[in-house]
This record gives sequence, structure tokens and C-alpha cells, in this order.
Amino acid sequence: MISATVQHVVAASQTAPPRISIDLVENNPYVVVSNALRWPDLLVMGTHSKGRFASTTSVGQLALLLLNESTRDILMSRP
Amino acid sequence: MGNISHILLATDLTDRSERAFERATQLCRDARAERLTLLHVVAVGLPPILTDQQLNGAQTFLAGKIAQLPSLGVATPAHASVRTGHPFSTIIGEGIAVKADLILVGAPGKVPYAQTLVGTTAERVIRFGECPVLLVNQPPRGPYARVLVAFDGSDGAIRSLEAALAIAPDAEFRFVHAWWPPRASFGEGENSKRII
Repeated sequence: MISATVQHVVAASQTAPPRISIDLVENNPYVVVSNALRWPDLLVMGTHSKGRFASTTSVGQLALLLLNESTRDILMSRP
Repeated sequence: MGNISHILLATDLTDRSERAFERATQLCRDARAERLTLLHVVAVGLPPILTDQQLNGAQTFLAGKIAQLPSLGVATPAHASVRTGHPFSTIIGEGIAVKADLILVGAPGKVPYAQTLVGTTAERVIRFGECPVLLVNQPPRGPYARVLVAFDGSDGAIRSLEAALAIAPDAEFRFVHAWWPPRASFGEGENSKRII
């Protein structure tokens, strides 16, 4: 399902990137993303905000951790 | 440039915002954004004379930045906007007013976790803003070449991905989807799992 969603979004874009790889990993998402952060020059993710008022303290736990720790550029968007 | 035609650069005029300005010029130059807005917000609550000084100073500074753009190879029409107000809400309001497709901000300084409970301006712009936000941590060394996408299939992740495809069309994209293992097996060896 994740792969299909990625392929759909990429196909719908006006500029499909030349190279794509997809890794599906069963592990702590924070650990997985942190360990991969040496490679990119841009990190892209959504936030898991559960609504504008319910999430009044942060944009989401994983997003908040990466916002504070990453030295890479970060592109984020809320739902 | 895909579906990103108007870039809003929110600057506090510091060094970290200079990195964001450099990235904005790269995006305008290489990805052909159609409009660029430079925004500075003067905080409310200052004495009127200081507010006026800051408004005038920021306007002059941003006008100088816009004057630099042709020499940096940027032909994108740009204009400066200096407002007074609360930074995050003013940035969001300006983004809506100019129909920005992407907001650029310099990444906030690294602070202890406790201090993030209220949230930095950048964090609140992400949380409440209407469009994707690019936090610029590093001075740009050309277009983005390697993009890591932490992808969970959510609407937020899809919006971010669409923006990334627009600003980094020639990059290599690596998607990572990670999920927690079942609790019963987390941190346990095979023997322990059988006992459980």
C-alpha cells in the first residue's frame, strides 16, 4: 500500500525523479530515520498533528525530535 | 516548477535566515518560481519610535536583498513585506494573503526539549500554516541531490512529498516507511517470545 501510494504521487507529479528506492523497515521510526540522516541533504516528512487544537504542544513527537536534532534541511507539512 | 510558483521567505534578518535566502534564490533560479516574497515581522509591544526604526531598517535591508537578486541570476519578480505582529501568525497570514505555495524559514536554534513545549516560530508555522514549510539548516551547495522521505502515507506526508518533487526534480529519492514491531516481541529474544 505504501509503495502504491508513493508511485501514485510520483506519477502524478509533473517532474518524476530519475531514481527512487523504497525501504520498509520494522523498527522504531525515530531510530530508522535518525540512522538514515547522514545521507540526504533534504529530509521530507508530514506531521502527525491530530488537529489544530488537540495538538497544542508540538507538531508531533517524531517531527519534533527531528526538527530539533537534524542538521539537514527539513520540508514538512501538516495534514 | 510543478505546483510551487510563489515562495514566501520569512526572515528574522539573522545569519540563519541568510541561509534560507540563499536557498530561496537557488529555488527561484533553478526551479523557476514565478514570485518571491521576503517577509520580516517586527514584534509587537515595542515603543513606537523603536517600531518605526525597525520597520524602516528592515524595509531598507530587504530592498537591498531584492536588489542583489539579478546579480545572483534570479529573474523572479520579488517584493518585500515588513509587518508588525506576532511572528508566527503574521507569517501564516501573509502566506495565505499572497497565496504562497511554500514558506521558507531559517531553522531555529537547537534548544532543550523543555523549551520546545511552547514551540518555536518555525514549529508553529508548520503546525498552523496552510502550505508546506522548508526549514533551511545548511547553506545551499546547489540543488537538492539526495532526498530522504519519511513516508507514512498520511495526508501531511503526501503534501510534503508533492512539494519535494517540485523543488528537487532531479534528486535521488529514498523513501523510508518504518513501523513499531508488536510490543510482545520488542527487545525480546526468540526464547523470550516463546515464553510470552
